[in-house]
Amino acid sequence: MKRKVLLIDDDQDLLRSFHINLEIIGYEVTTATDSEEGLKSLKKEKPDIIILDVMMKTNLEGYNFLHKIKEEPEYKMIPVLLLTGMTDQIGVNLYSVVEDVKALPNVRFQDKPIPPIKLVEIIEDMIKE
Amino acid sequence: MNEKPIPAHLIFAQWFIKIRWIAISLLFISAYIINQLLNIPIPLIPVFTISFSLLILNLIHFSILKRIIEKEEKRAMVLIKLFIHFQIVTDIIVLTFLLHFSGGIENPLIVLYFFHMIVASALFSSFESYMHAVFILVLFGLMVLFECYGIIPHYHLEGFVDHDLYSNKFFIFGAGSVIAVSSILLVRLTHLIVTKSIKVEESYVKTNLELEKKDKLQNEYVLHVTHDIKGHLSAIISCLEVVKDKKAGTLNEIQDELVNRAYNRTNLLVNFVKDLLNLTKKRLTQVTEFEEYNLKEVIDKVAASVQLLAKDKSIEFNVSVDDSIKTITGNPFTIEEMFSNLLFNSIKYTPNNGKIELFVREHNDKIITEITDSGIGIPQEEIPKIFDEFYRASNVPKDIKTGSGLGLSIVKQILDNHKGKISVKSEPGIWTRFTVSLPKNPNVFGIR
Repeated sequence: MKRKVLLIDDDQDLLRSFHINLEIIGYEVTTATDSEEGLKSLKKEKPDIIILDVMMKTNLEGYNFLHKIKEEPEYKMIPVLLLTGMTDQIGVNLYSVVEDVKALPNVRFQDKPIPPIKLVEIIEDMIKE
Repeated sequence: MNEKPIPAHLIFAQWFIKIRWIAISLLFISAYIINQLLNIPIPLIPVFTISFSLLILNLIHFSILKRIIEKEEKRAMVLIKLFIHFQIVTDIIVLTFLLHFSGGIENPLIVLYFFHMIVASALFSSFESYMHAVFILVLFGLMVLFECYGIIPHYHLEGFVDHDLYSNKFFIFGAGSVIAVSSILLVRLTHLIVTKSIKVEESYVKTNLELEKKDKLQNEYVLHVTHDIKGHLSAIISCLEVVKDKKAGTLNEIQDELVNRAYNRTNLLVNFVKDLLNLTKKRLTQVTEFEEYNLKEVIDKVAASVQLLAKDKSIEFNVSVDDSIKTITGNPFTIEEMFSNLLFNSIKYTPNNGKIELFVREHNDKIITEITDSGIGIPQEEIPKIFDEFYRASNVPKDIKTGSGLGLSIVKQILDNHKGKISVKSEPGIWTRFTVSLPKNPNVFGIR
């Protein structure tokens, strides 16, 4: 059975390229451009992993979304890869955010940009865990 | 004290003229009151003649100043300094005549001499200020002595001063000494205070210069980096173009889509880099080449291209330009850029079927432009930030976040170079109005 990936990012071009990269390898990919849409897809598709952009409409939209789903027992254990370009964009020290997130199960951080091969590697790794 | 022609001179020159209008009115009124109501005999004809001469003199001052302001900045500075000397000297002469016809040394208005000394000491070198003080003392002294020895008549303020003080040599000696010593102290003291404040100002100027130097270095750095980035981007875009236009072979659907995405994004980046280069260059070359040009032609040109864009979005675009507006001084290319940046912005942020109005009129030595649109507006608290680089209002919908975020910074820079001003008023969701004030000739020296 194909593994399901949910991609949430407000950059449509980036979303599309990840989409194509993952689809070629054999994943079933669903995309969303904001957290609202992401939540709908999450309920519908029950993905095996979520790849989530931190900065969308607001600086911490992805982060808030993460907290929301990790509070729901049904989605709590779904692995989430948080993508962020925030460190160099607004100079925010992410450690405080990271400390918070560390307490949550199955979450990893990755700085953007990320080469597709590396992305796939991380996804495989996280699903195995 | 270092003597420098400063813009403050102009303010003083303008201020003197205003004060003098008040003084003239007061003179007429008080002469009448003193003579008619208080019954103190002062010769009305000479006093009115003096007041009238002062009126004529002030009209002359007014027209001289107006002419000086129209001169080139450097020349105007020198002329204004001379002009203030002229104003002070004529005032002192008029004041002395007035004093003579209204009691001479018995008239308390002699304190008015001190005001002139203070002003002279605040604006001019030590030597010049002492010269003014000496001039006052000599003129005043001669009047007092001539009156005392009956060489010229004395007009006694009957009922105001009881005794004939003017002929009392002890009084003259006492009062004269006090006035002379006070004058010298006054000049010295004013100088001391002004020199101190000038020193503080100089340190501000120095700090400012250092900051400007740093800013220049930073701008040069940005210019260098963006220039390099632009080079790489041009290469990327030309390679992508070959693939996108299928000159290197056919593409399948996904390849075509991805190349187009990459191409569009690269284009956005190219525009961003171009804007950044443009802004940085403008910052580095503060002295813009000015020429005389027809503003109406520039506006018509921009309006025509904006009209096309407005049509696409079914936006009603109305243009109203005063017929009197023709040739002004400035840089036509950057002014065109300013108009198109502002109007393209309006188009961008105005929804379909909206309305945009461009209203240009003449107001004294300025051109006032109003651009009003029925667009998404700007939240009140964000208005002060919209001219900052990369700033985007929080209410901008995602699908129109395609600009560089530098458009308004460029507008601001162009206006700074032209000594112009811009202000914004907006009601979010309803309307926005940008008001631009552009001097007809930025080279003209003037603070008004």
